[in-house]
Amino acid sequence: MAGIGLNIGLKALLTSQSALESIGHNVANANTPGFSRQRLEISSSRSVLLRGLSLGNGVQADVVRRTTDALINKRLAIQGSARSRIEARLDGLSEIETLLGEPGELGLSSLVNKFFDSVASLAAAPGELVQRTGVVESGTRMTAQLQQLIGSFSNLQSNTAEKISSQIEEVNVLNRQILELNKEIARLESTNVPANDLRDQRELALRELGELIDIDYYEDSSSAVQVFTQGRILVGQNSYQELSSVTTPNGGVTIRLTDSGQPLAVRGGSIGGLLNLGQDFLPGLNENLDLFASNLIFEMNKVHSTGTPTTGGFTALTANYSFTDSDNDGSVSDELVSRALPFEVTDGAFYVNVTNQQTGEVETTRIDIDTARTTVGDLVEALDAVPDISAGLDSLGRLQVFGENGFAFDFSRRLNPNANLAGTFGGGQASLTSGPAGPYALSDGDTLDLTGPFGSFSVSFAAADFEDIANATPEEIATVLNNDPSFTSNGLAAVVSGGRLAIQTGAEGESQSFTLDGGSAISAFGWSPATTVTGHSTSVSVELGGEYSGTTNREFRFVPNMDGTVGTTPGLSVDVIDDQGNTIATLDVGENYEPGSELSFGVGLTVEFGFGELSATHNDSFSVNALADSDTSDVLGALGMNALFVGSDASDISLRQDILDDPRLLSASVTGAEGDNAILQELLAVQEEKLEGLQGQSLGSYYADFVGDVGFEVSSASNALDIEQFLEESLVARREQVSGVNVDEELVNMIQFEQAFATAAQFIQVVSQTQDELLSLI
Amino acid sequence: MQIRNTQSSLFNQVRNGLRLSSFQTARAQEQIASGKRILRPSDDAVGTAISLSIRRQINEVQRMIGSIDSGRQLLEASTSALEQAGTFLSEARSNLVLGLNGTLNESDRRILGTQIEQIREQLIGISNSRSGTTFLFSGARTSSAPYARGAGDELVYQGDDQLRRVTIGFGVELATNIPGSEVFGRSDPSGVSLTELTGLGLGTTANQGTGFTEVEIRHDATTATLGSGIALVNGGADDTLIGDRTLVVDATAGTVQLGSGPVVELSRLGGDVSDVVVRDGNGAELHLDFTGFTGTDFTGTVTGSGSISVDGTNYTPLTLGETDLELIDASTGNVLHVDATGVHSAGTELVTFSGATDVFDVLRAIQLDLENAEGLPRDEVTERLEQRLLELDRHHENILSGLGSMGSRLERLNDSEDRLQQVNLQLEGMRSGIEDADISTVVLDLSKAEQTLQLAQATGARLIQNTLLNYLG
Repeated sequence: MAGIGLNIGLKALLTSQSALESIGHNVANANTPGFSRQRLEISSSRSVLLRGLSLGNGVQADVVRRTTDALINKRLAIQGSARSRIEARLDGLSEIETLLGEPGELGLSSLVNKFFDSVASLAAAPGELVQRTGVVESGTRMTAQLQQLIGSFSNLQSNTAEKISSQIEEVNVLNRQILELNKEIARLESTNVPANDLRDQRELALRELGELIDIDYYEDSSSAVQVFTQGRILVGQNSYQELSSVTTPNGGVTIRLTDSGQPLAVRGGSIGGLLNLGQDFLPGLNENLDLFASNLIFEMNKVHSTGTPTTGGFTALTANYSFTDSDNDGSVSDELVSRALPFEVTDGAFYVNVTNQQTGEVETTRIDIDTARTTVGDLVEALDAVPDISAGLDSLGRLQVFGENGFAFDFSRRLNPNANLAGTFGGGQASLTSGPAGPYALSDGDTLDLTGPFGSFSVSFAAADFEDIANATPEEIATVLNNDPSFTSNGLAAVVSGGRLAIQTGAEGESQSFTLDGGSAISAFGWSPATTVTGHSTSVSVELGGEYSGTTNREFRFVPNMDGTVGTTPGLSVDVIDDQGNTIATLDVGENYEPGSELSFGVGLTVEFGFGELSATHNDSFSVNALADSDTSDVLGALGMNALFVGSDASDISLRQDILDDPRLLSASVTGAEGDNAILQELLAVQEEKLEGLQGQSLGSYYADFVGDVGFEVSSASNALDIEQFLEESLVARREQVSGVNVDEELVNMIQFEQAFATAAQFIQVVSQTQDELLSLI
Repeated sequence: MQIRNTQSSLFNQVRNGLRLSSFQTARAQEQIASGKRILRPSDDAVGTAISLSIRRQINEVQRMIGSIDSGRQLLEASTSALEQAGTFLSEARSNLVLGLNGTLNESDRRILGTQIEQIREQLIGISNSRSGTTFLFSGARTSSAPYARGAGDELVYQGDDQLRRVTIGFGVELATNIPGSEVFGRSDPSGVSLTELTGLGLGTTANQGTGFTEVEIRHDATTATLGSGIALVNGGADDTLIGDRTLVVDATAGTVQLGSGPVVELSRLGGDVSDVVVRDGNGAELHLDFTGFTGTDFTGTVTGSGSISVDGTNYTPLTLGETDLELIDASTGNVLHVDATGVHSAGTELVTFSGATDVFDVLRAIQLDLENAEGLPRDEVTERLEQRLLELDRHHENILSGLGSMGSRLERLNDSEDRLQQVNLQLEGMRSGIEDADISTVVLDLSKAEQTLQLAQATGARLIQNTLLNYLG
């Protein structure tokens, strides 16, 4: 009996000791991450049959087990993945938000406002150089901020890529660790010993892995976990997959399985969050900011290109943007203008004013742009054909325009006050204008028979001189006539006015005359044979004034109703006919008209006719362009002719260098006068204009929405993070509830086992005393 | 379910609680310190977008208010300049009216002339007045003086007719200037007038020109077949007679009469009859020498012939039958058509292209007329001054109407500014409502957060102190 008793006592002592040790282990690891509380499982030993009794054989310690809930652990790993994805995104988003600096004085929107403020200040005092400098300075600050923003975004993107690649390394380390733990656990547990602490470690490693990428895992029969991501196995029983990341120069990141080289679309974990930030969100942000910048550039340039600086018209201009040779044939001339520029060109026309700097006389030429037809070559040729300027392409494929000596040009909508330069309307020279406007249906060999001071002669038209003689343009006919030696030696000249051909004497006065004898071509021009035209001692001076109030470009033609003298002939009037053929006004210039007094013909414009003779018989007329927009094709803005901003997106936007150097080149006006602020007013309007390029939003509201979107992303990410954190915390709490160590509880257990230990010792003493007593009997 | 609290969850809970309450405290503190509710877009994304839009509108309104301020300066400066100009013109007018008064003598009128000259100089100064570096009256050519002295003492307008506009409301623009050509030299041709001292009339064809010009009808020769010993003086060089007149000498009465002119009694001439001046009904003069008078009656026709010139250099022989003679002054571009049928005497016709002068030319002309350096007859000077007066009044009216439009524009500016200030106030209110922190709420939030923090600290301290060990001996 003594043997059994001592044995029971011993086992009780040992078991209590083991229990105390595991309590010690628990208390020691109360704060160890991932630690699961361990418990010694004890049971009563098998009873022995003695003295016919089935006697208890004491206690036995079976096994030390973790208290853990595998499901909660797995959910924690998955939850950690969701939480850390949002956390990583939020980190980057908050940085973007800080970079934007809105709403505040240092944000872009405030700098844009300040730029427009300075334009407004200049508009209030357009002559002040200091205000011009103000525009240049605030413009520089605005463009610098745009550049800086886009630069910080791309820094952020490359930082993100670096972070991803370092986290990929962490993933690889964790994978290897899990694999090794798998192996050790399997080895240990094959001997039926639970690998409690190793399992804790593995669970911790899985949670850490889950924070990096989205994973799923399950434990197989050999106690190894198999880890998956996006349906691909990462860690198996015996091997794991290495991951690698490749960063492209533009900041793009691809993650691959190193062995198979297959790309892996990571969605969760901090890597997933970083990928979303760097590959989706930031590029979208860049795109939006670029769109803002390119619209700002184009819209401002469209307006500015039609302005005139204080220094007057231009003598030389080079476009900012090169034509691109899309078909790579080494020549840009064959490219369509609408396809060869970074900005959109539309069907329309632009106008070139060439000013004779000596006399101040202005000649306006209209150049049409057909997006489906006009090639770069056509554009250059059309510009080059404008009298007194020349055009070409430079070595970089940019359009260049030069004014000839003594001539300056601009593209403004200004009104030409003396549109009757050619003298086809009551001019001093003898002048005969065609009835209908061109083109004219001529045939090969048609003639015009004329008599000048040096006798009669005939000019004939050959098909070779025309692109299509059946549709001969007045310009082509004028060239043929002006190249005819008899025509010029008789002092005659052919000009084009309002799309009509006119034959004139070179000099003015009553002594000047010529006769149109006839010829087969006269009917095409609406002329009668044997028409003698004589010059006048006084030419009718024409002066247009006022500001055109219309919204579309129109051409007005002025035609007298009869032959007569201004201010004298009863019933003499001048019809004003628009380009639709409608007579918009009939101006009485008869006996009740005082020559030189102002006549209004609506649309905000006035005209004054001086004294002189008008002839309806000789088709006297002149035309004036009343422009609301001198570039309806937007080609000047797209070319960057007389641009305000250069660059094409947020990364390279800046003010044009020579405007920075000399703010007087800022084209504030239509006319070039210092006090004219018309272009500035239009520039101001750009800020609130609804733009097609921004889906009908204005620059201002587009940027406000842009900032709002970032703010919305941040706040929604931050709300989501709160929720995910809460979920995670509650999972952690539940895990703690199951696996955590409560020191009070351990203390109670400790006292319990301590008492058991003491009692067992006492029991041994009792057993030993009983034996001693027996022995003393011997 | 029985809750099993563990050490780390206990500590976590305390930690989280403390973190949350101190974050709330810091947030409230931040709002109070900055006075802003939105410090970053994520604080209120929609609010941020709206507040950026409102800020933009505020900027726009303030720009307009700025434009109004600068516009008001210009308008006020223009107004005071025009007021002065009006005063000077009134003064010039009273001098002119004084000059028309027949009781003044030559030197009095010269003094008036000098005063007019001074007024003109002052007016030039006014027309070139500036606000800052901006010339008020030169249209859009704000950096050059509107009036510069050209050839002679003539003033040439250097500006243009452009109106300088500023935006004073949404889509509302207002001109802040009035071009000098509108107030000092408004051209509104209303016809030509002549002093008609020579009998020259206007032709049938229209005329064209600016300012004042003179048509000189020169007497070239007198032809007459005279009898009774009467002769022309100096071959007729001093005569002004143009055209045919009947000369009647009545020997019995001792009288001479030219046309319907006053009868001259030879006996009253005091014996010297070597240069007897007879005038016809229009005042055309014929000088006759009666020294060799035979004392017999004589009736005959005397014919004066002459030439006409508009520029003083090119003379055209005058044909009296001409009803529409074209006179062109190549240097000025003036074209004049005259009717010569009524011309009766030589002289200088003042031609006024009404409505086509500038005020400086009018003043200059008045000055010259008052000074009368050429020694024109009294009635001719009066005639001329009366013509000038009409032009002067026209300019006075232009300046007054300029003043009127300045006044109404200033009124519009003030109205606009009131309206804009109101809009600004509203917008500021909206902006503040969105962006600014409501201090009382935030302070309340802060004290709440502080209280929570203190509670969390207190309970946390209690919680973490609680362990069984405290009670085990």
